[in-house]
Amino acid sequence: MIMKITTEKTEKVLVIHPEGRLDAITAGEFEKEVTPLIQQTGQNVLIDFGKIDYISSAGLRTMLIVAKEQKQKGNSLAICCLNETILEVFRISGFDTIIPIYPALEEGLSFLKES
Amino acid sequence: MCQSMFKNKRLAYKLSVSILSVVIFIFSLILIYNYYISRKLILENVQENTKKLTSSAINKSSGFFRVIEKIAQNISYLIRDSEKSKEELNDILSDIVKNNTEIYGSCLAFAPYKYKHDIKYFAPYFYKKNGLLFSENLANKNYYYPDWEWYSNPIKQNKPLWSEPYFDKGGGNELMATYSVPFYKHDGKADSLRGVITADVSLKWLQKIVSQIKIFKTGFAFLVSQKGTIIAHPDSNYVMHETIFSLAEKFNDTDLKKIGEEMIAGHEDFIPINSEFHEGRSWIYYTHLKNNDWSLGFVFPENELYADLHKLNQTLIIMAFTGLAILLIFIIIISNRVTRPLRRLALVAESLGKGNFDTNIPPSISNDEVGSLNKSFAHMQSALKKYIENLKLTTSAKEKIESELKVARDIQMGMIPRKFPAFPDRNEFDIYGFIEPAREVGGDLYDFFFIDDERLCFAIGDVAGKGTPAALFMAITTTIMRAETQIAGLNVSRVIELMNNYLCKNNEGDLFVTLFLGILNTITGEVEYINAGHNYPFVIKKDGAVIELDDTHCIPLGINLDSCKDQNTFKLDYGDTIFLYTDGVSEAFNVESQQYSIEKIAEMLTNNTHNAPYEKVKCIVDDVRRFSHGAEQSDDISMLAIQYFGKQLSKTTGQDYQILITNSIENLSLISEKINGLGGDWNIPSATINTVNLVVEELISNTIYYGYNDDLQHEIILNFHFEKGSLRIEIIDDAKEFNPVANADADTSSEISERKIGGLGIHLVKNMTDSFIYQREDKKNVIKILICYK
Repeated sequence: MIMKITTEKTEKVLVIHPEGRLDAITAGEFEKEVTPLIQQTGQNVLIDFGKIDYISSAGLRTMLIVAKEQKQKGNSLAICCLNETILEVFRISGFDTIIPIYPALEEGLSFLKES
Repeated sequence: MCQSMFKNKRLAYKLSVSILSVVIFIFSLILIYNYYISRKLILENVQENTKKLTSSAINKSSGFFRVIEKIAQNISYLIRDSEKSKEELNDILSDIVKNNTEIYGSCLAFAPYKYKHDIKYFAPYFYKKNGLLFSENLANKNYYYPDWEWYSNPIKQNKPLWSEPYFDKGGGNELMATYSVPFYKHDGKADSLRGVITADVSLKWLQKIVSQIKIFKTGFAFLVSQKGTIIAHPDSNYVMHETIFSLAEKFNDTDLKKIGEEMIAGHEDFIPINSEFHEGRSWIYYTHLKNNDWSLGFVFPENELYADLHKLNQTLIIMAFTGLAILLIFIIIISNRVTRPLRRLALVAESLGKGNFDTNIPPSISNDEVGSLNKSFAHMQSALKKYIENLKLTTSAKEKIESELKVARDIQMGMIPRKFPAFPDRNEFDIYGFIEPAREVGGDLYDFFFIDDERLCFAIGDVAGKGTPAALFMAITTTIMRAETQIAGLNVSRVIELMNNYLCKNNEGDLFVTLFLGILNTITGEVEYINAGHNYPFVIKKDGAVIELDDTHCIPLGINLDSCKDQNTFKLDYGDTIFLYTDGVSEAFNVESQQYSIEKIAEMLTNNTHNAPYEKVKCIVDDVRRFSHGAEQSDDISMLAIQYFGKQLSKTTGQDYQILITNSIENLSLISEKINGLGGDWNIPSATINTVNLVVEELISNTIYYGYNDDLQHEIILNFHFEKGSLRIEIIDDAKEFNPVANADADTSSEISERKIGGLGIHLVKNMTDSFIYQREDKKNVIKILICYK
């Protein structure tokens, strides 16, 4: 159960493509991989949930950590491409109020380029 | 028997008997030789002495006869030619008789008409009787003298003759003999007989001479006449009454008869005789008297003849025996002295034989063979002592190693699951394994264990070599296999890589292990595996096909850091069996050095398609044993067989399913998989399954992270109940009491920087379920959830 994470750099935005599940087991790994990327970059970050099929509260916790980190740096964070269940989880947990969610990658990118 | 008795005797006895026997033999030879030579010498001596002894008697006898003969012949010359008157003749005759004491009578018997031509017979005879002299003319009518032998025999033979002895009954009643001499008248040319002159002689004197001869004690002399008549003999009854021939007849003795014949024939000899003539064995010497052809005999009793010799022999024998007795004593003393140290050594040797190596060997004084034996013996004792001590040490060391090996075997066998059925509460598969090291411990291994609730890891391997090094390497392999499987989880190639790394880096003995490692998904029947240089396993399909799993084959572990990543997959269907073995099975040898072979294994498997793993393994074990009967087991033998049946929900009735897990966070992925599986089985939409996953994860992780105060293992039970459109979930744990339902609501609205993460999970559960109930029952938390869907 290894989480596969790829990144993609554009002019202003760092796009992160994680793959798999974001549950109690993998969340730690995700945090370990992504935190340094966030810390190093001075750019806005877009996390692509297109290949994430599941998230639990443990996954939400890492998202909160990433969001706090970006906020501290004065940069923006957005997520895109959430499936139905994950979107519901974000809504129920109220995370949709702190992290902007876009249905498609391009929308997320254009939002982050502007901000 | 005698020989064996002699064998058992002491050396002193043997020596004495042997030496004495030889000495007695030599003594006896000398004595016998001495006896016979002495006897011969004595006989020769006696023969010599006999002649001397007898010659005087013979001379005396001959002298006696010669005197008489002279007198008679002289008278014949006196009266031969002259014509004497009657008176003159009477004077001559009376003078002869008177003057010669030996002559008892004398007669002049004229032939007819030769005295005077007118007188036919004239024979004047003078004789002595009682000291008086008488005369008589024998020419009378009663006594016709020309017919008597004393007259006629000398005339016939024309020479003087002695008559046979006779008793003169008329005269002195004495034994007499007459000597007759014929006399002649010389008439110019020829002599003409005139008459015969006789002299009668008493043999009394001669008898006395002969009978007085004594030879030794009982020896004697005897005299026989010309006709064999006994004339003189110590037994007077024989004299004139017996001849030597009548005696021979009486005693029925041919030897005596022969002697008699020889005697009257005038021969001389010295011969032995065994006759009643003399008591006992004796020797006779006989010789004849020339005067009258009579014969003298001398009898020598043999025992008296050899008396001195016998006496000498007795003395010699006594001396010999005394000498032998002294010799015997000396032999016994000497041999005792020689054998005493030997006997002492024998006692020491006996004591040595009983294991008493400290027995004192008496020091030897002498430098002879026995002395050097003594020294060698002492040397042997010390060498033996050293050797036995060494032997004791090596034996105890060997025993120690053996007992340690036995413990090692127990430990090694303890590392391999050998209790069957191994999983009595699992019916997705049946498994049986068999292992038999060629020595106490071996390098073969097999193992199986669950990685999680569904996945069974199984392996079979063979370390190069046998015995202790292989066993130790096997132990390492088994241990790290279990350890790495725990770390790398379900990734077979990762497990192999980690194992290979460890084995390569910690391989002082340059050993390696072939390994087949597989992970069986007990739900799907899929097997992920890597074959690192091990024999291809067989898959026995339910329809009877036997397939060799020969698609991948990598190098064994422990050789090269570049491990095998050639992971493969195959699927077991309901009733299929995978059969794994080590080369100890296929390469089992029989007494003819033939191998059991892989083909034979395949054949056995084909013939036993429908058997359970235990029977499959058992029939091959039996067949290999039959095949290699009598040959030593050359390699460790191991087999492992797994028959797959697939998922059978033993604890579900209808649409119920139960999952049992322990309080380990890793188990979450297992639960997730099962839930995903249930979704497929029960045809639940994936969004709902995601919700179920989320709910279960939040609640279980909460319990695992915060519910227990100890580090022990706890069981968490999940019960699922499916009905169309809804799913009921029951979660039971023995964690500390915690009511999630009563938990305060989570923060869902504050700014990012203030936002709290706690309670978010339970918030999600509450908002994503249709019913969420908590109960505390029997010291357990029970959460009941209902999720409905369209």
